[in-house]
Amino acid sequence: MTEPARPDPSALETGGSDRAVVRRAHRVELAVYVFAAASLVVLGMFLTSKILNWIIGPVYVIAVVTLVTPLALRLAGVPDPYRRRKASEEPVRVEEARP
Amino acid sequence: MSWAAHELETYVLRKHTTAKVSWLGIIFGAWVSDMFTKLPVYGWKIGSFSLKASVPYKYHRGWPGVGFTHSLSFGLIVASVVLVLARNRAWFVGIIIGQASHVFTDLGDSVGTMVFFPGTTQRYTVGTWAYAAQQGRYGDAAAYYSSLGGAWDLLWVLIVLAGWKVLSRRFFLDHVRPADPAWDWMARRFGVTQRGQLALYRAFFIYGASRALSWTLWARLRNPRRGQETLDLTWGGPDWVNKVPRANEAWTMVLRNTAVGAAVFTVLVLLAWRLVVRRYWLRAT
Repeated sequence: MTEPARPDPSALETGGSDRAVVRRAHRVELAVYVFAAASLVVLGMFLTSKILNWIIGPVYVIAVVTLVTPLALRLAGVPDPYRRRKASEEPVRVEEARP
Repeated sequence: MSWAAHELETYVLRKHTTAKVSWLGIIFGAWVSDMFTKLPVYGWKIGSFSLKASVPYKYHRGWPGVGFTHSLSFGLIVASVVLVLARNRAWFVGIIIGQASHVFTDLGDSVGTMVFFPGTTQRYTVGTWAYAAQQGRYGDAAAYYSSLGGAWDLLWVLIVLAGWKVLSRRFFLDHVRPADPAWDWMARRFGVTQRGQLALYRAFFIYGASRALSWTLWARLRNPRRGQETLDLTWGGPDWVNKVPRANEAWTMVLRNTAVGAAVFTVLVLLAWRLVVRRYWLRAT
């Protein structure tokens, strides 16, 4: 699978056209959160305290969001604005690109 | 006890606190009362080793026992220790707020909490739902999520959703992260990305809401005794559980204990400020 096109860092910093890309990425991420919640509810009904305890429960949510979101973004063909970059790459200042 | 409200309340508290306060401190404070004391309440067994309190409510909320963890003084002590070690005011304030929220939330069950320990061992309760930890984890879950306790959790889910902006990336980046150097430390020390930090921040809402919903569905659909353990939204319910009843004490005795307890707590706060907190507060950032 080829790497999807990355948003232009300068456009992100100035809130240019790549804002739409960041917005799409946020929508995909939101869907992953919904999936994490729904799956935790269903699994919780059967596994009860094995997964709904104070340690496993939050760790499950964090793991799903951090591991599934990059995969979901790739599947959706949306560049990941939060992908960790090599030191040589110019950092993308996503915070400034928030709508 | 509350099953999910403790986590859910932290978002509302963070949103409505104007002082610089750490959300991580609030969630730690909200958990610290039960963090090291809850296992023996339901019982815990590994091989031949088992750990179970003979009378769970006395152990959990009483004295002698670990009931002091559900007092305001305990929050002050834990926050002071963290202030000395971490030199961070936002964590100090956060722990005090979070732990106090736990103490006051647990007033909702039929046992209540020793709010002003050590000045008094008087337990305060409004008795909205039954304390049923003596029924074991599943018995307690069935009772809690068949009573106003479950409604209380679901109410907090709705309150947080009504103020959904507290879960937004913008709120996290503008208010939560700048107030607490721990987020930058996580990024530097462990390479936690912004997505990971945001996931950590939101995870406790997802977990709390999912936990409340999942146990409610379990109680209604999968509980083997659901035929007898039915929904009972009456005050102090459910009636079918063998609950710990509210203590029947004279109002004059309660008022006297409250006066003594509040006076001792005030002295403790002043002593803590003079002897420890002020010195480290001034050095803290």
